[in-house]
Amino acid sequence: MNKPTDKELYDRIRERDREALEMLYDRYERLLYSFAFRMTNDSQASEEVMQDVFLKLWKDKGSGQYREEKGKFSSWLLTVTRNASIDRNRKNKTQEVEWEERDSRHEEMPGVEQEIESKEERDELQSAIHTLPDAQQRMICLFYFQGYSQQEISNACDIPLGTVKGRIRLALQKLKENLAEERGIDHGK
Amino acid sequence: MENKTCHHLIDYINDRLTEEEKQAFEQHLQECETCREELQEIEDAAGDTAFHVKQVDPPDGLKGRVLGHVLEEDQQEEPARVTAKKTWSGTKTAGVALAAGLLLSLGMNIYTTSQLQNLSSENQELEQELSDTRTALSDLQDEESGTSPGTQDSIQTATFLPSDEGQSGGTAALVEQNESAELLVQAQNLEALTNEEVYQVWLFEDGTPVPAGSFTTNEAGAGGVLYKLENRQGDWDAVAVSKEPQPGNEQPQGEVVMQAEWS
Ligand SMILES: [Zn+2]
Repeated sequence: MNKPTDKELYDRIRERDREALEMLYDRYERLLYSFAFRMTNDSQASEEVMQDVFLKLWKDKGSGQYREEKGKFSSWLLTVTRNASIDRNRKNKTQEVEWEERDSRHEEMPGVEQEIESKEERDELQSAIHTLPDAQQRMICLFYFQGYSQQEISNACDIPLGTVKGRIRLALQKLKENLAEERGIDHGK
Repeated sequence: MENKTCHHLIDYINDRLTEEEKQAFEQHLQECETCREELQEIEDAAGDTAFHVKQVDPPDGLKGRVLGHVLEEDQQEEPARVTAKKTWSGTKTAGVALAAGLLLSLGMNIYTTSQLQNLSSENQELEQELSDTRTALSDLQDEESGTSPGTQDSIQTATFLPSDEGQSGGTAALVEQNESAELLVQAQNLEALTNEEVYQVWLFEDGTPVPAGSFTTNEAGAGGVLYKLENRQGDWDAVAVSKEPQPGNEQPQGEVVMQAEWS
């Protein structure tokens, strides 16, 4: 029997099929939870992110729904999860202070090292970010981890608004290459 | 060709647009191939990173809490649904969905109480939880009985007591509605499994076991399953959990580790 595709499950979820919601949940639980945990660094917040994401899947109307022209479903779902994580970080007051502190730290130390260095283990993502040039690390940090708007990035980095998108694309492309290399190394072990 | 709307791509991805701008951008996406390509490129690259994040184990009972929350929110914010739309997945009523939501949140409470050291006080708490749920469900039934003839939700609960040798314990709840039923089993302090072993749940009808889902345990020996019995309503007299050498057994093969009768 063929397993339903993500898109098929999503369409069924739009029809309020609870079984489909459960199947999609089972399929993505570990990936999304790990990702939310990486973004929030907090198990309670990660759980709230999971609730936000699945509530959105279940009942979101209008814009913001998945459509095939938006690309791969998993990429879209991870973007939703990333945004939900950033929202949670913003909403969480104490967290907010921490993030601000981090921001100012980034002024001296670009990238996301600070938050990770306290952890014993580095993940592949961290290593891959670490090998980027400072300016690109910073771009990833602001766009990807902190969800800055285009204008905010332009201000923070003192670069023309029109160049922000290009720099993000470049940084992400480089990051993707680094990640592929990391994986290569891992397999070679 | 780049136009003004194209510049919204980054803010669209990071969800920083107003609802109006968002709608306009999605409209634009259908017409602008460049934006479609760039959107996919950025989202794929960003999404790709998630696969390289250190994997962590979701906490026990996360699924129950997350899906329970979703269904509860749904009920709270759209009360009209209960009467306006009676079908759920074609076979279930909203009443059962809510009951399942309660079951799922019950799962959460059991998890919380399973943290307790003292097993006897734990069981008391579990019983309290179950009786709370029974009250909530019977309230729901009362509420629904006026508006929806033919809907017959019923809930039965059971408490697994520690066997002579072990410390294992847990609870089961069975929600029956029309032709279908949902069974929730939560257990703790179970022995660790090896290889392909699973804990298999059985429902007994006139002494005949019917498989009703299986689960594995976490490091702490806790586990559980929410199992749907589609188009299957029986006169269940007991529920049991056995340790089976592999999943999918139609008849119990391993030893029964705990058993309880419905109350
Ligand atoms: Zn465009």
